[in-house]
Amino acid sequence: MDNDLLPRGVQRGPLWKFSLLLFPWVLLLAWGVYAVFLCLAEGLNQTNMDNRFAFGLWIYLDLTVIALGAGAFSTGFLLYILKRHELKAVINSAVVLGLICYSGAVAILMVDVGQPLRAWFTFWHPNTHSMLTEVTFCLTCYLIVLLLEYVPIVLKNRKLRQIPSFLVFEFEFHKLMPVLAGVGTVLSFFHQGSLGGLYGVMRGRPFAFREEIGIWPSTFFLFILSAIAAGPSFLLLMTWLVERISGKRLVKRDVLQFLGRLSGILVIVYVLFKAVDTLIWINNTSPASGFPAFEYYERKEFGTWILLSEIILFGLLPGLVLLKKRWRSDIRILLGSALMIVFGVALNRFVLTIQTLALPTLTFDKFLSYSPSWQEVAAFAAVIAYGVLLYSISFRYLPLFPQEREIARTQEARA
Amino acid sequence: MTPWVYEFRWEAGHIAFLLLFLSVGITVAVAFLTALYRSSRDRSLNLHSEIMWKAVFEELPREARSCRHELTGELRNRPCPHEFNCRACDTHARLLRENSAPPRELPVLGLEIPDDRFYHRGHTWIKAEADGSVRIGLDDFGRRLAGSVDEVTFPTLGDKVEVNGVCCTMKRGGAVAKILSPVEGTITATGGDEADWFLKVKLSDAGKDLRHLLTPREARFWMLKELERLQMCLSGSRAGITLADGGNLVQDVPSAIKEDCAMVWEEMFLQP
Repeated sequence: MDNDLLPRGVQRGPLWKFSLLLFPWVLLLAWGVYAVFLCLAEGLNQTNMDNRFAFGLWIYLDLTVIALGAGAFSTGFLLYILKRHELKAVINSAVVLGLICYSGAVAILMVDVGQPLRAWFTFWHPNTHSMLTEVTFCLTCYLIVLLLEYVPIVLKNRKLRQIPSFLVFEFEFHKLMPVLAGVGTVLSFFHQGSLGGLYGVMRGRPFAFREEIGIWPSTFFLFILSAIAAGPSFLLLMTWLVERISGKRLVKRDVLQFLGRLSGILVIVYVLFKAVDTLIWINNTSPASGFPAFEYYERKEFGTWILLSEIILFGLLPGLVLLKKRWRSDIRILLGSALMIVFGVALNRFVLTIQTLALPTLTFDKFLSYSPSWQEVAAFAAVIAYGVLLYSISFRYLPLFPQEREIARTQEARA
Repeated sequence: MTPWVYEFRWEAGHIAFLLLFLSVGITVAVAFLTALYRSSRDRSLNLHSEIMWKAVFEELPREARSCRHELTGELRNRPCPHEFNCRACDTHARLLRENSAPPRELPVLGLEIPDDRFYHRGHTWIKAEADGSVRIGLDDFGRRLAGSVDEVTFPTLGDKVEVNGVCCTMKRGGAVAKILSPVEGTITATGGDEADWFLKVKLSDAGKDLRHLLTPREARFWMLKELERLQMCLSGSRAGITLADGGNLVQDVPSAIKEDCAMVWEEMFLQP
């Protein structure tokens, strides 16, 4: 029975082994669900956040996974709109990763808001002056788009497609993917940007506040750029990780190199804008707010090393490496650079979320410290467990990597 | 932002923003409903077999998608862009007119490929009958792949079959082979155990166009490729030494490959 559900022409391990491997993740998910239950039943006092430190681990990781999930829309845009057909090899995997990232982030946001039953308030009574309203609308819409993009992948399951209605619907729906890819790009552009804009408009936080370009602060554009730069790197890393875990070559090496090159080019563009933005902020925006920028970096924990690491070590350096064909042809260098880019974007989200809130802004303010409670850690661990479970099940039963079959046959023939 | 929210005014800027926002929802909904409508239309037009074949073709490895003119050496490195529907192929029509096939020595395969029939890539042949109908049978390669099967299920007389739709199924142990129809038409007879054919079909008007089928000459080059493909297919199995030793294909392949039968049938019969 299980064999009938597996994608055509690929090998998967026995079901008992698969179930055994997933069991620890189910336990982790259960632990997280219990923590979520506590947060919803007892209130947000279960977390270590308070009115002053209102954004913690959840928002930081939400921002990070949303940035990493950008691989879904950027890959869709490149494949369906710009017709880069080599990305067909990873598009299904990108959609599943995007769905995991976005649905996980939205689930955590629901817990963070504390009253998920009133989630509809934000749609019916939107605060038109809040960047978060745009984020909420775009995130919700894009999550629906991702779910719709996931449907044809599920219907490609070998057993499901024997049902004529499913097969025909999948065929017709897949033809409309360019429309969904276009809509997804527009929505992603706005919510990635608005998440960045959220920090840039905070006049009361001069560390994060930025000048406007048009109607948006510069962080709006920096978030978009950094997300589309990190998305392909994350996709590259996840593809390699799945290859390692499954013990199978899933895509041709030139696909990974293309993702690396794409990420390299985009991260260089991002770093250039980021550098210009930082210089303007140091020399103009921050002094105009009454804070010389160096004051933010007086504490050892958040010294200038963090700024330089973000821009040079985890931005410029891997970007330049990925631009050179000879270097990115080496899989270790390719993966190392992609990992550095992902880390750099995660660091950027950490700086904007945690460092912004920790730094004092008024004369009587103190440097705030925060460490997450076990409930916060467990709730996010549940998102990771959910991601592992959904991806593993999708990988086993759905054709996530169309090149897998051909590569396996070529390898067998060589052997 | 939206009409029910305070500060909303029926002015150009506000309306434009509202329309932009609504257009996203409308676009997604229209895309979904269009797919639903089209799929319902496809079902009513009975396009299920054609769509299934497109899905199967898309999954075929490169070596199984070779254009017939690549097989004969007329073109180099050309995967078929038309799901083997040569009726829709301008290149095929042009090459037939030019008749530019280079002379090539026909491969010796140890397989029977009679000259009085046409061949389909699902390992079937058709042979024209005097009454205008055609007989369908498994080619020698397909017959050896099938070996002695436990059970064959035919469609009912009077049923319609589509090109590349399933026209019969064979079972052996736990393995099932779905054999693809090489033509479209109506079933008029089914073959017995002793016959070398298994279906007789009265061709529909559109089905009389047989340009999508391989000629015996093309079939020889194709079967050579198929032997390589079978060898590749078995290279990871427990079949032991395969065709690399230069021998002929055994008469009953499943008895030699045992539990790999389902995988080989699925691969070689191009089944959905």
